[in-house]
Amino acid sequence: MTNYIVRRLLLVPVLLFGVTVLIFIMLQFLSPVERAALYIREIPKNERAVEGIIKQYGLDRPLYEQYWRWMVGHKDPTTGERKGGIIYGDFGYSRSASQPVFDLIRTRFPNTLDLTIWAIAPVILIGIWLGVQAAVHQNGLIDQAARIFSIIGSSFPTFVFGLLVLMLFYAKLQWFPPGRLSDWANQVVFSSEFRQYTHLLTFDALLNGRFDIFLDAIRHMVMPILTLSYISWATFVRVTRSSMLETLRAEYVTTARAKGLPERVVIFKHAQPNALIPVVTLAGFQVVGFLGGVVITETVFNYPGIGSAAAAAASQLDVIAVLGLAIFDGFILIVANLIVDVLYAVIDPRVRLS
Amino acid sequence: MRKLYLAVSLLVLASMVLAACQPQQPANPFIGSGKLDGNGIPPDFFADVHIRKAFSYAFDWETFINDVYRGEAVQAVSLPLPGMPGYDPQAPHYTLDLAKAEEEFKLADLDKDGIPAGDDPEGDVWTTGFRLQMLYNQGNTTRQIVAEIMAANLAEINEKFVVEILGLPWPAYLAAQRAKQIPIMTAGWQEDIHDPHNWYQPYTTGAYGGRQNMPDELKAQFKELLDKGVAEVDPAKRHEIYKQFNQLYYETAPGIPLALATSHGFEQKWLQGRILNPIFAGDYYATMYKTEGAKNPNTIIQATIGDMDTLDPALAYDTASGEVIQNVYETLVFYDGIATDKFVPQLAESWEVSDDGTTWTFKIRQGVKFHEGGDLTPSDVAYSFQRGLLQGGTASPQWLLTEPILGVGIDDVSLLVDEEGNLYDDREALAKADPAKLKEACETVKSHIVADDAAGTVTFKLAQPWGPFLPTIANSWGSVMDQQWVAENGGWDGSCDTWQNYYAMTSEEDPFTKIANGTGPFKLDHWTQGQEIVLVRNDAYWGTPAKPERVVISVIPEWGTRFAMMQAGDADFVDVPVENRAQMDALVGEFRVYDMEKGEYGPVQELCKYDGTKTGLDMFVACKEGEKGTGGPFRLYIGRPGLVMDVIIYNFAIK
Repeated sequence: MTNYIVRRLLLVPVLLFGVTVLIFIMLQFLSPVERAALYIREIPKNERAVEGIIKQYGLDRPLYEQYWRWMVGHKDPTTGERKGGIIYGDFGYSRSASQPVFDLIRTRFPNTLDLTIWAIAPVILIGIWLGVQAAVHQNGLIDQAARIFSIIGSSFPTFVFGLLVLMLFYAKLQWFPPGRLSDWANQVVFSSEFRQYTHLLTFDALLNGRFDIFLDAIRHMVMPILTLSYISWATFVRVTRSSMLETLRAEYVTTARAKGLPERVVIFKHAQPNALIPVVTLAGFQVVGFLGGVVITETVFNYPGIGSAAAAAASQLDVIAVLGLAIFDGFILIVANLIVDVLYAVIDPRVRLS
Repeated sequence: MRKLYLAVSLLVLASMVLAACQPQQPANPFIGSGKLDGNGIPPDFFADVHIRKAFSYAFDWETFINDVYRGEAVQAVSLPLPGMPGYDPQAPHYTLDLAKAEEEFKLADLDKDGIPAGDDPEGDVWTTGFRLQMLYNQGNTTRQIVAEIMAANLAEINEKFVVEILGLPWPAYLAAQRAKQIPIMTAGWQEDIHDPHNWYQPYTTGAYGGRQNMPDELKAQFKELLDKGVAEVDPAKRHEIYKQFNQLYYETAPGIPLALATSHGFEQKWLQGRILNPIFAGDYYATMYKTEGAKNPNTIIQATIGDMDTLDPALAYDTASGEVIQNVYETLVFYDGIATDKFVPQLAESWEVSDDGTTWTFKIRQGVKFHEGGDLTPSDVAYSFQRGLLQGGTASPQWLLTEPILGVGIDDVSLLVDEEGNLYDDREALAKADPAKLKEACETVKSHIVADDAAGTVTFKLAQPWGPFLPTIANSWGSVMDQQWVAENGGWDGSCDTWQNYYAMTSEEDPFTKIANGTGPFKLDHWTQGQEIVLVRNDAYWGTPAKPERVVISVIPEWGTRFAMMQAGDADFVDVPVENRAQMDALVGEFRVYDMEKGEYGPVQELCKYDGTKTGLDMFVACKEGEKGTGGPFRLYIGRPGLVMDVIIYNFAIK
């Protein structure tokens, strides 16, 4: 087991290095002027502005020097301070967000994490519950209903479903607002008396004893959670259902039934734990997907997470931010996959023995 | 796992090989063969005035205005905008006339044998035809439609005239444009100051003129009139000079001014007191208030499309930054209501200009305090302008100030150290320059802007008279900062020994990107980058205090979300893209139409019928007496010409 984890850990820096090299090389297909264009949105009023950018970011230096400069940074000649260097977490400056990419991640990621924590329970639990029900009542009314319901969800493009939710629950009914917090709650959070323990807003609100702010934060998360759940359920229902059906046909289940065990015990004690092994993998992917930022959902509901930051950066051609976020996403993906693999080994002995 | 290593290393290898064998840049791909053989154009194609005139006659403004602006625009007949000296509705201008275009093509002489194309037995452009590509940056539909109109009309004149339309991704477009390879393009300009000089200059000798590779001789003709015009202080005399300019621009046809779009903006009906001045960088919040029953009665909420860049007034050059700066900082003079050409005292109580028009003396208001408690002094005013000029940099708006103060042609302070222009934007190289020269440059700047604290005045000694000096200092780059506060927070301390360390500051390194300390009606509460900017009322304001307690500027890139916020009443006004106007139009309850004669918006009219199939003002039918309106929640402002214009420009010597 330890051996397995160590081997997986050793792979992390190698993978990260690969990610940076790949991303860097892709950029080199552009000429210095084209790369400089990524720092500006319109033809600059002064013709020389492009040269200034090329000089400032060293876009005309040799390849290895640029990669080195990108990785470990360089010394500013006038102040003597180190500038840049992604190994120090300095991914550069995002023009679309008007702040260093590192700060962007630092302020946005906790929001995405918060959303993931609150979204993952309804997504997984209800998805699994629907799947199990469908399998148990195979071809029955519940099965058909669950399948149609979830198929509709998965075939809805997120932005269409999201906008429908927004128009109905916000513009029309005004039950759930978009954004992160109401203006009054924001004023409290920005005041000095509100302490940021975890930077996860819902938890900080509880730790500060501000139940009203907790509720306000949750109220703002209802629409994204609803959207995320509805579009993800189909996959869970399908995987749980087929895995469950397969397990229910296994010989040990027949044996359990033959022993005269009540159907409840057969299904929930004997069949379900084994049927859920593929679902754990799926859930792992889902968490990783959420953590990387749910671009469309966050954008539609103006939720200030990693996903909306990436969308804003991409639509404004803010390549520096896109690169930084891509590397961060790669990091999250690698780490989260590592955790899923370990969990997998814990629940399924066959994995760690092989 | 081994497979993964293999895949990654293969990918890396493949990318390296691909990167190494990047093809050599071929000859200019946009002008076909590069010769007059019907399959391309010679590089000096547009150097022939008849070709330029022929193209000008081949553009169809009516189709353009209907397709792009749904009828809400007027043809631009000259470079300056209505109301400016030089604007003349009767100015000579081109209109769609394919017969005249044909005539001009037949007068062209591209093989330079002295015989016009129409009579040339050996053949010329009229018999051989031509093929060129008209480029636009992908996603810019306006520029795409311009190209399509041009291509269709030229093909109608002569089927051998082929214009191919090509959309390039932004980086490739900029690169081609920088390499001066683009034969013909649409160039947009948004004015910095409301003055004809800010229109004539960019399109002839300035930014775009340079990109057009205009012959020096033609540039010199324009420059003579430009310098004369800008140095004239009397508007009537300027008008006469600029009329000559219009005539010259018409005769030499170096570009085709397209159209002036008119305003079409929305707000909640409960919002009052908004000053809709198009020269403002966004909105001025102090006068706004809401009627009874409005949501969030003491807070003005604006949902905007993108975040600002920096709060440093010397560096900010985008409207989103300018909007916040003009509410937090103040300038010596400011615009009078919705007028774009009248000024009222702000931090200056009064001003006078010497007879020769070069010395401007401003009496500085007393008793004004900065938000953090410092007192405003004339020295602060002089320091702020000195700091701006010395900070310079081509990404900043400082060229607008360097030219009047230090002399025409000096568009950056680095030229005072090296006339050749080798130091533009290069702080490192500047710091290595001769210390005596550096000091001298700083002393020169200081000698042009002098404060007299005892007399309470600041004097600007301009290098030459400058007609538009007041508009030049009335925008965000003319904001006054507190010298002591700037120095305490890591900015320039005012010494001529250190200024070079702050030259060409970028927003990412600038200590004043995130903090602000002005004298304005609002204080910066906080700025959560990429999310929101919150301002709160400055209760110690020297003038009439602001009406709203709080202003929230929310950054909401997604239109659907902004639209929902307007419907829910959580935003008082939002950015509406042209293609989404119809959605808002359907919810309009009342509207105001701009009266060009009076220069103001007319009375509020209740809307009785909206017809989206029509164009322009016909879409909106006002209620007659006794009729009941639609009761829609929004108010529409329509009809004021904007301060943005596109011009088709040619490249006289394509590379």
